[in-house]
Amino acid sequence: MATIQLIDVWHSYDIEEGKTKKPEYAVENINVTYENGSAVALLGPSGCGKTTLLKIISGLTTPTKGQVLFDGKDVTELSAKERHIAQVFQFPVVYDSMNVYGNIAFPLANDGVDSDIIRKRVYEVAEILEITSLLKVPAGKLNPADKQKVSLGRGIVRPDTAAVLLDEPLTVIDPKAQWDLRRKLKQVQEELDFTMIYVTHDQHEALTFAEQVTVMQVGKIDQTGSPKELHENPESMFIGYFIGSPGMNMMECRVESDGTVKFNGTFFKISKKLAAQLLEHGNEFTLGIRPEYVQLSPEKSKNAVSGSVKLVEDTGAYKIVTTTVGTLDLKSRAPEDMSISEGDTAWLSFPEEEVKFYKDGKKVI
Amino acid sequence: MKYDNRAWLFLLPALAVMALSAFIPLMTVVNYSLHYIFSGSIPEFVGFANFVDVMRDSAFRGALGRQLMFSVSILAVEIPLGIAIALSMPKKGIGVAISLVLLGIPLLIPYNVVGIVWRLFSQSDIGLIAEVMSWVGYEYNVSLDPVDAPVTLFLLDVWHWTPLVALLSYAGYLAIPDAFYRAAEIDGASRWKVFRFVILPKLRPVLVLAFLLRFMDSFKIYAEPLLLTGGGPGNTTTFMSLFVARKAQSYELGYAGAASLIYLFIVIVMSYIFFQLLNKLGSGESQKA
Amino acid sequence: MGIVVENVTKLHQAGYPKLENINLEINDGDFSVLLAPTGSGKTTLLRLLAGIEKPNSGKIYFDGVDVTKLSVQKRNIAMVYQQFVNYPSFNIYENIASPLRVAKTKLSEQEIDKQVRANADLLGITHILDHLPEEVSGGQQQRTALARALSKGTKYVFLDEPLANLDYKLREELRGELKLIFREKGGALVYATPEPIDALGMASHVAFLHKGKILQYGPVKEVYHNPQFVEVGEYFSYPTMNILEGRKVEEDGRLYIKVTEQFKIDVSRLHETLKKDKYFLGIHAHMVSTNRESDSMVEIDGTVQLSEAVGSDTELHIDHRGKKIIVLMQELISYGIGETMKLYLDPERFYIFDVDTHELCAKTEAVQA
Repeated sequence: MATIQLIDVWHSYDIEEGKTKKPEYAVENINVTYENGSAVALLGPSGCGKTTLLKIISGLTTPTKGQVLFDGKDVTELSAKERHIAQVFQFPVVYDSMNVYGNIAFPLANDGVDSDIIRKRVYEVAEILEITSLLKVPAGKLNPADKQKVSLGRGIVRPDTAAVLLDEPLTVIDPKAQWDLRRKLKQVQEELDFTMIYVTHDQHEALTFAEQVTVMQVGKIDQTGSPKELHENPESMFIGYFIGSPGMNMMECRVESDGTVKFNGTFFKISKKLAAQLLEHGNEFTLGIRPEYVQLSPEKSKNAVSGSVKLVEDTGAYKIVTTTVGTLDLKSRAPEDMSISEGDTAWLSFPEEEVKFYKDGKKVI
Repeated sequence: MKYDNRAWLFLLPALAVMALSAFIPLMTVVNYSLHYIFSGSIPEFVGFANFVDVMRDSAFRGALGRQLMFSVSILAVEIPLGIAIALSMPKKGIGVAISLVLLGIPLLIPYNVVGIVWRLFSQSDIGLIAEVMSWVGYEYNVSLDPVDAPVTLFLLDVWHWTPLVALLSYAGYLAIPDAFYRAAEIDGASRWKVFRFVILPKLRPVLVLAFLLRFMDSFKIYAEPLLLTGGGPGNTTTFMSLFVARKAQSYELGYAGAASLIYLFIVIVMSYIFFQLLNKLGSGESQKA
Repeated sequence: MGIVVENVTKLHQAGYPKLENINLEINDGDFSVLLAPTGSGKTTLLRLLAGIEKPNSGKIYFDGVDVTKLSVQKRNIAMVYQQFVNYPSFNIYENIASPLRVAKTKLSEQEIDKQVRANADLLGITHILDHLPEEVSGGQQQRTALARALSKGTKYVFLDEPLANLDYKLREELRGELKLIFREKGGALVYATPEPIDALGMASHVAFLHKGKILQYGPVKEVYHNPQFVEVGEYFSYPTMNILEGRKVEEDGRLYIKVTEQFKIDVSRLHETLKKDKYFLGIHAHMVSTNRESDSMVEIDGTVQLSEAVGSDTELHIDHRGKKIIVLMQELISYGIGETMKLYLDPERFYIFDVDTHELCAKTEAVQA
């Protein structure tokens, strides 16, 4: 178990291969700390650099620039084994010719640990993973979900494991088995208090597993924080769009000193205090507000904009209403019992506390 | 339902070719095996008498014995050697193309040309082997020495066919995802353990294939011994197919027919046994649990 | 007018029925979803409607005409698949134009251009018309397939899980769009999917398939609030409905259905209807609360199995004395595995199903929506 720190990490495959002219960086300016025992997710679309970052943390790749520290010790030059990193891959990696016991015992056997101690430890791990009944089964014969458990078992069997890194481990798992494995991963992390870093492009997996989520885009970290933080307070427009369902509503607007916020041919008002704060950064912004916070009413209300209801999607638990204001489609949630239909006129208001303002993609307020 | 039946028509040409080149000749052989046939005379139905004669004949058993020795020894060398070559071949870069070409050359040469080239090599007067052997004081004579002949044939086969094992193993080796080596590295496995627990199990399907191919192929070796030594000296390099062919050429068709069927039967049974054994061998090797 | 399916049965290769006695009436303007878990026969039903497969018995009518024996080409339908199927050598423009080019009535180049651009606009792919399918993303390829289906201009369009291979965000976007696009078009849409949320969000009607039979078919709201069978109620819900078995007991002069000591629901009002000893109780996940909202609520304790982040909601999986209960919370909130907590059930929100026939017997008070 270790606290992992990345300091000014940059990596370019171009430079690695010798092309030093105008190199392209897979990851840029990475600075992040993961406390000992945290459940972390690296989330982002494919090509964002999360796999590269994982390789740098694991030791498979030495970064072009920057340092990797484990509990304050510089491990940048050390290999994966030397850092005591365990890894679970996208497709299950098990030693087919050995049974489950042999697989889990393998790292300890290679370390020369006494066979009695190995036996005890393997049984402990098997019990946590709920695979004790499979110990005698040849690993090659297991289904993918169980193989991943064995992979994880090999990862946690050593007492000095600093962190367990998981690279999209649910990729080849059957949807029915995914829930169980997802739960098992989280349970192991919580019970054993390992630092576990989970790489994925799936926000469902990331937000369910992690306490700390690092969202990446084109090689840079957009934001790192708890799922709730990312959801409520996205630092970038990308995160506002990517996290949460539906994504954040975005509207280009113009702010005036009297608190008027003009957008798409209509307007509403914010406090003069907020307006003054905003005007320090300019007067054109992109306003973001999560659908859950947009207040929808079939009746005219104060400081609200009107629009025509374009679409009502009823999930049974609540309705997702798309209202066209001017030429913009805005989404909001309405309670199940609200009677609202397509074609109705609706009034939307935006509570000041929940509105975020962005400039050039980044949050200003 | 209409569509299903029409599909069979597409198979007719292929079926016709197969019938002509394989099925009908096979039936002819079966027919021969059940009769006494001598040139000119009328074939006489004798049931299984030919089969009994064949199995009692010490010449047949001798040829079979030599064949088994040969096949076993080449398998024992070609498989490990092929794997070793595959593992030492480069995985990337220009070296790959060069190695593949070098390995490919012995495989591309027609069998009879191989035989002729090695006959030249092994000529006691002008051959390369005789010359090199004389440097270490050994008098090499492939046509007279009963040890030199089979050994030369053995070397010929190893040269000719190890590349096949190597290429198959190489393909299998390249297919092993990197993740397995990473995992083994993290698990602290030594190079030997990586070979034993990652490479070998992953190569198993390919090796079973290579093993069976080499076994079946070596069991019917014909052109090379014929061209190298004509089966001699004596019968030291007369293996099964040559033996049966000679019997057929001397018009002992009944005997030859029976011998070939027994020969076929042996190959099928042995292949089946090996196949089952090799598949079982890989999976389920367990640690104490 | 519309599609009528009459007593259609389709057998497996091995002889047993894949689809049994299917009866459906899909009217013009309907957006019908065939809802069922994978492997239940919905793709087969769609293929039967399209004419790719023929039923073993029964008839299919399009607008009053018997099309049962008619081949796919003659039925004049459009179909969109899970795997984005586009002509790889044609660019997007040509892909969308292709049905227009082979149309029976000759169209001028201008007319074709107009329609192609209109359809591309509807699907939001005007900016990639000159690209090849392999050059664009999966979502855009699927939009191309949809645009091409629109170009065909057929009355009936069949979609077989068209969003299945797209990522989460795209599915979310396209779901809303599909409803709007096809509303413009007219005709009828038949959409097969295993996701209840697709039906809930988009469809006007839903047919729930279970083991080769249609258990219920009707307007979405109707089926949702009045599931005829426990399988329908359980599956056609976001997330799945909580179904628990309980015994009918009399305590202190009142009648209850009891799942556990804590979990018992007062059904005295329904004593005339409930004559058996065992019943299934069903309650939607969003009707289970973590706060006591009124005095009549039943309190039960539970242990957290997993709290899953689903979009902007949280699906909380709770274990109550060995029974599984899912709670839907409309915010992102995290609980540790093994945490204990109290749940509150509104006794007026339950569906009651017969244990033997699986049919809906009754609903407690407020559910009479």
